[in-house]
Amino acid sequence: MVLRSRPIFSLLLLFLSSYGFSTAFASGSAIEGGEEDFSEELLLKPLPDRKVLAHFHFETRAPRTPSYGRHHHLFPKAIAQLVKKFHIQEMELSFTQGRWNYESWGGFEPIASSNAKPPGVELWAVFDVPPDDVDASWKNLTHSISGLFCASINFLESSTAYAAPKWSFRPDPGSLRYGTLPREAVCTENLTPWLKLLPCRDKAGISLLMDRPSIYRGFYHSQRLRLRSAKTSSDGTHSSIILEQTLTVVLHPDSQKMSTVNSREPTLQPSWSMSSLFGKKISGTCVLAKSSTVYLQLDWGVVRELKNLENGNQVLGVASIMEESFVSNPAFVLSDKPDKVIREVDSRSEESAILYEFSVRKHSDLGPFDLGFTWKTPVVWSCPQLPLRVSRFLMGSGNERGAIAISFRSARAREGLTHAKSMGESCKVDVNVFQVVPWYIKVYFHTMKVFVDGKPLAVSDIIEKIHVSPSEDKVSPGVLEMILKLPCTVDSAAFTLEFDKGFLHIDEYPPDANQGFDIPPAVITFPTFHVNMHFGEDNLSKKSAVLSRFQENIPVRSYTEVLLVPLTTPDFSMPYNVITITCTVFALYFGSLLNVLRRRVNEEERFLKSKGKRPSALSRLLSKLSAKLGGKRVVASQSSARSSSFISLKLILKIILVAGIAIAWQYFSE
Amino acid sequence: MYARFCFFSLSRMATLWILLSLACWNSFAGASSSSSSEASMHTNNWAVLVCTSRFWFNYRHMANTLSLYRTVKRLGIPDERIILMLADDMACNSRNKYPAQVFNNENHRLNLYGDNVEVDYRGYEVTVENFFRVLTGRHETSVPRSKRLLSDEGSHILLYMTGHGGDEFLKFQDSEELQSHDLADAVKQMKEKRRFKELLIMVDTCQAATLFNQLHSPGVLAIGSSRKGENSYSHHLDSDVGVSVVDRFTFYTLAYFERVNMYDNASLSSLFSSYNPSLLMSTTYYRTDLYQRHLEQVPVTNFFGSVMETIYTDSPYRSPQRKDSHKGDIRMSSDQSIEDEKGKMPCEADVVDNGDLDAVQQGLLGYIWSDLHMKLESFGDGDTLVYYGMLMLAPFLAVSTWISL
Amino acid sequence: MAEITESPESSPDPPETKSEQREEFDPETMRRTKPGVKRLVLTFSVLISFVIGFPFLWKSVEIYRAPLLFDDIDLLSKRMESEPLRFPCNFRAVFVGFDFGSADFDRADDLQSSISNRMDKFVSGTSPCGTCSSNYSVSVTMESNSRCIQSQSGRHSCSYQCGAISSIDFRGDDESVDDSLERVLGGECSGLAGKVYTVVIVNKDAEDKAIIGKYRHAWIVGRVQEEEAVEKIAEIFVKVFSNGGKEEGLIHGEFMPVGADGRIVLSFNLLNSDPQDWIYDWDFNMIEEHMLSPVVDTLGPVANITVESQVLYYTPKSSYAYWDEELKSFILNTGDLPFFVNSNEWHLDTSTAAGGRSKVLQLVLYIPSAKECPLNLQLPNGEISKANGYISPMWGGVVVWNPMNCFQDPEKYPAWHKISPQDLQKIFEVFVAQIRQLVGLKSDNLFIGTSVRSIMLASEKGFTEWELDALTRQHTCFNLWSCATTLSSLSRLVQSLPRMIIMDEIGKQVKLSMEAAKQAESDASHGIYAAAAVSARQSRALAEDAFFHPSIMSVSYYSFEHCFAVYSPFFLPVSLHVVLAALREWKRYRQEKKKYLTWKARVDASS
Repeated sequence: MVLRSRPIFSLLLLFLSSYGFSTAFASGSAIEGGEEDFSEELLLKPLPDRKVLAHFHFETRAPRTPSYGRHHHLFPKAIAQLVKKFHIQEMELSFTQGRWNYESWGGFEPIASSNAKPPGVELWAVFDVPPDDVDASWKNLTHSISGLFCASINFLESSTAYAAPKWSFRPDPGSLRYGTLPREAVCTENLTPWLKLLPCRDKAGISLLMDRPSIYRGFYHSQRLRLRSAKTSSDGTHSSIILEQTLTVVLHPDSQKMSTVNSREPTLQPSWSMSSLFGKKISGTCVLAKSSTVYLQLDWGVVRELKNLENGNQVLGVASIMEESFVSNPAFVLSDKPDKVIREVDSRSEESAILYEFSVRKHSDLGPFDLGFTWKTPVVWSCPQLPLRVSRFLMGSGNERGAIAISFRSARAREGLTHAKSMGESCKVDVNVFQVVPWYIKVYFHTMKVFVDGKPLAVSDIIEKIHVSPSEDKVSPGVLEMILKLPCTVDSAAFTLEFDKGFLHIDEYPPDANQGFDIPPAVITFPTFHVNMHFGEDNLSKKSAVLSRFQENIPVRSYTEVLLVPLTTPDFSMPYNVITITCTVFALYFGSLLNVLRRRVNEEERFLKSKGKRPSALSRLLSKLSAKLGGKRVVASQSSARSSSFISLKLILKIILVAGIAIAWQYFSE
Repeated sequence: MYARFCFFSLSRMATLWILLSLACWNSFAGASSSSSSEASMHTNNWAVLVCTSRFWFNYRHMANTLSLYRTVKRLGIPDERIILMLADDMACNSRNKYPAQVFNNENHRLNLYGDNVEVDYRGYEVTVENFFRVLTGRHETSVPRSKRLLSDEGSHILLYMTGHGGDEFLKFQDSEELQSHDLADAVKQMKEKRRFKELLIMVDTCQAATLFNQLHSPGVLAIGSSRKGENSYSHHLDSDVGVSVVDRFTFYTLAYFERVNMYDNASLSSLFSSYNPSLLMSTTYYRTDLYQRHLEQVPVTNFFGSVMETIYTDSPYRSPQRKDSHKGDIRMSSDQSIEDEKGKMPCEADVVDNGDLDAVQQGLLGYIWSDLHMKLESFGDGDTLVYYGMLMLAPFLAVSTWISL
Repeated sequence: MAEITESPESSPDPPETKSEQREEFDPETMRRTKPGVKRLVLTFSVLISFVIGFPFLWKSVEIYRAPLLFDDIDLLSKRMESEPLRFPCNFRAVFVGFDFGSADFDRADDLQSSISNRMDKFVSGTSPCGTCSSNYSVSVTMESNSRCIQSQSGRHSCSYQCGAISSIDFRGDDESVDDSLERVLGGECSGLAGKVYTVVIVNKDAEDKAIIGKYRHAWIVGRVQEEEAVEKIAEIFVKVFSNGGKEEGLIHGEFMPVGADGRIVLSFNLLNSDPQDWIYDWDFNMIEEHMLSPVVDTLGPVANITVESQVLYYTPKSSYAYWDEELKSFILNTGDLPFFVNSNEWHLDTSTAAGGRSKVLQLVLYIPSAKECPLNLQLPNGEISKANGYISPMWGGVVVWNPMNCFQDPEKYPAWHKISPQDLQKIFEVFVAQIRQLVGLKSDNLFIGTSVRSIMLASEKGFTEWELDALTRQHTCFNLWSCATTLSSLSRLVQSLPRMIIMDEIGKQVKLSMEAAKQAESDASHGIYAAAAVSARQSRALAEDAFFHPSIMSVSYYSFEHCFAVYSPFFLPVSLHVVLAALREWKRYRQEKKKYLTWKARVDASS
């Protein structure tokens, strides 16, 4: 009966089974084009100041199928639903603790300009909705994300917290919204949901290394989530959404190992390994990952040093670093033999960075994979610097007014400017400044002053393009966008803006208002300088997500410091005291006014006369006393009425007059 | 250091306003509570854990809350049914020597922060308003599900709060106060909307008992760490972290729960009777008059754990033969409630060494204690003294005005 | 006190001289001039201005409360409690092949009355809400080879034409019989409200069987006496068609897993407990369009349902399973089921699209790892569960699926398998059963009553029409009830908390929800099921919106102490000043007046 009861299903079965076989033969079809896929990569890089940079990069890709946002295999459903619900074209969310050290960790390189983020939370998103609905969907998006990532990002909902940059943040923003929370704490509870978006969360693969204490012990860590949409097919009919999760950590190698080394060789860089950095090793790959790779990057600075080193002791050419025999390398020793060595092809200089590639699957076959890096000879190098070193600071004192100053200092001997110089003295450096200022910092944009090499210049001949939207109290922040054109030969440039400090309503103060208020960092972009590495073979970009990021042509970007502005903070227990005092004063005024009005002066005098003049010493004393303390009480109490009330009245008037004059003087003298 | 500074001045300020003894004046005393949830079975468990105090020196409050969080998670309440509110970030605080770690004990055996903690409200979000929005469910429409208390009439809710408190109030973020009347309001509204079947309110703060004075909704069970006029004290100081890391009441609550596992059915009464006033240095107060069931029958896992109600799927739709659907019974046989030793040993050790710790520091502690006691007494009469003073004030005022006319 | 005139024309010379001149004038008791009133007027004007000022102050501190129609709400809730709404149902019994003489034309009416009596007996036990108890009409048609008679109540517009049934061959298979019966009996009745349920009794030589069809009719074939036929008919009418064939106390109304806004999110999760062993994937789109979408569409009147799916990895279960030798599988006990869900590793609740008040049901397909495979659920009676799954009310369901290649040791790098469509279909049959179970319907196609033991045909849509009717009735009733309770609790709340601000929007929502409720009631009384369900859902959603409106926050109970602290420093002294001043002025004025009058009298007497 059952079989007979479903002709439809018997048909269905035939259809299904045929489909099933077709899919069954292509085993692992889920990780091929048109399906969702996932790849994980880790890039390690020694830094000049004895630290190590670890850059985790996870990428999940999902095609925009009709069932997109509802049925998913690898791509996190939550994110897909966000994208679908709020029509997100592009989004970037970053949680950062610490500040990227542009001088010693490099500024002119892909990681710095794409992964160096301001402290706290930074969120920007591009929606494809009609311009009137953008704000609404931004509000909802902040709420959803705050729920997703256990952070109070919903504070970005209020219109005083976010801005809509026109052209300075991104060249073609579309309907872009940008907001930062500089004081947002970043901790495990933010990493946990971030990891839950990965198919194998931290159960297998490279993410095993993410030992919370060792990560948060680092000098800098920035946890980033980026949503992009890309055209998969050439004709652009099939688009797909790409979720890019990166975690950038700057760690200090195990100190005690370093100290032992230090005793002999003060300048020898500390040796490190995965287990010494993270306290863990990679045991087993994430089987869901299309590719899981570890890269070790050596900057061109290191390479040059090594070359000099080897030219020094004439052993063998620079090829030694390239060739596979790493034991013979005089500079350092790698614990594992890389599967591949990728060399950057750089037009600017003959030295170029080198990447060693390790496939986790291959190395974790026998035992856990623990890449170690041991220096043999001291090497000193420096990282590629920013075209101009940017810093921002506050001027002035007191709780009334102050000034913001952004200063650019050129660091000499840098390939960026040198090759810019080669174009001749007339060359200019474009500097793109984007600054958001909260409304309670009332910036006067007309007070902008520009100094180049210490000499004040007219604003007009430095600033090429400027767009200002002044702040509106409790409604919108002030936004400053401008493009500076500085001569390439500039040593230092600075511009200043004066501001007044506003007053907040008593319940707008945070609980720890005494700590001061933050001005979010300014975003400085150098549109004429692009960081991108070129590698020999070009199919790398298909293989590796990190390298394809490196090859992208992104302008150099840096964030300035967060400024802390102390505002006038009231004593929050004041209201009651104020109320009581003012009320008492009022009461006194009323009472005495009433007395004065209904006093019968001459009558009292006569009455006293009739009562013969026998003032007791006590009463006279009393009267004097009470006459001293503001006179009204004198005439008030009958006992003291003997002192003539005329005088006392005059006395009062005089006192009031003097007091008034004093107050007025005090007030106007300022 | 052992005493918790309990805002004497502040609570005095609060009592200053009291002229006539109208303290127990109640706007809705007569209001009748709604129809109780009858015949509804216990479907799920929720937990709302609140740490209300900010700043580094209140480390222990966050440790308290996180310890409870860990406990209820261990006993089976999933993260999406726990609303965790932490007023400040201690784990990654720059003063924290152990980044991303929080300890509630000198022996840093257990990192409370663990690897997957989910904080729903943190920092400036922890306000009285948000707290009430969570309880009453009145959120903006865009607030995500993970920040909502989506309980229904079959839910048991555990509400744990810790922070600095006083007579009928609990401070949030050192800037605003949760008053007992407001708490009672919120609970009343929850009851009206059938947002819970049973509610256990657990408060670890000074004069915690006074927070329950205005409660009058049925199905509510309340336990506080200290009575009116008493203080709750921190348990011990961790010299590495630099502050005291746990409060006594919470410490002994955890000591009890270390011996409980998911399958266990220890009763609430055994928990309530496990508190020792001499160790707590305050007498726990629990209010059961609004609660129908007998505490002996109620297992602690009804509030601190989650045990699913399960029913078999007897057969796929359209399969010919039939089986009786059967309710998976919830209770486990008691032989499985053997205390796991490694769970029990450390905490017993702690109790012991803290015991002799107290013994060692008896001199110091003793005099601090007596000193505080005196202060407490003076505070107690100071209260009434203030009343009398205010009463005296009125005739003074009258006479003075009379004379002045 | 001393008596001195204040008028300037009063002579400034000392009193003793005065007393010498006019001994009859006593300054203690009399005066010559009228007492002045300007100070009196002044003080009183101040006093009065204060008195007038008070109401304005009071007005300034009071808070806005939109009027809610409390009495209507009370009416509604009372109505809901007193008589829960009943849907009209029409039952129709058709006796085929019973011989009856030409004399007895009222046999039909007798049968009808006896059926009704039997039904009343059954009804007395069942729950009234959502059934059509005591609000039904029974009609009986008797048909023999030649003639057919109908009961009076049966002679309405849509009585079926006689002889149609006898054409059907009841020896055919049940499906075809069901369809052909539908062809004959189906079709909406224009004349009467509500649905028509029919039981056909075919009295012929065949093996006895009772079958309940996919549509709104059942048929009983075999040699049956009339009285037992009556018994059976009555039971089928009440237990099956009216109550939806569910046994009591499985899941009752308030545990209908539908969100307050009438939405359900079915979130399907495929859990690979350990991908290192094997990775399974499913083709969800296909199974959705072939198996789920019919169910979703069918449940349309009850709730609007959205379906999501995801695949999760590294999700071990948290309860313990032991290896059983003779069963050659790992066995999961009933006692361990409550602890099966490993909430720390299973991140199921990932639906960010779901609204705050809609219900998310988790349906989990668990694929055990190699070291616990095959994994089977053991029923308390010792046998292995066929469905291999369980539900948890208001949460969802779990199904364990054991892959074929359990015992072959997994290869080093597991390949991706797709669950074969056949298996997937078996799995989703269980899921459908679980959805039915969650809304309180049994899935085994046997109905065993006291008198009748019948087969229930299953529908491809997951729910047969009569089941759906029952669900709709019950759900509508529950929605209206919860709407009423919500509104009444809101009104109680508003009345009990005087410091609660009530916006106009809330009043509007309450009004709308009341209207929707009324609409639902009228639709129900007219037997328009779908419309009633929809408007009932709407009314409930609106009531919830009103109750949970974010503007209702009665935070910061404003204690008397604070009030006193704020106002007393001003009002206590000032009011004392003013009142005392006024009193004394008034006293003095009366005194002086008296003196003046006495003097006046003296003067008049003297003159």
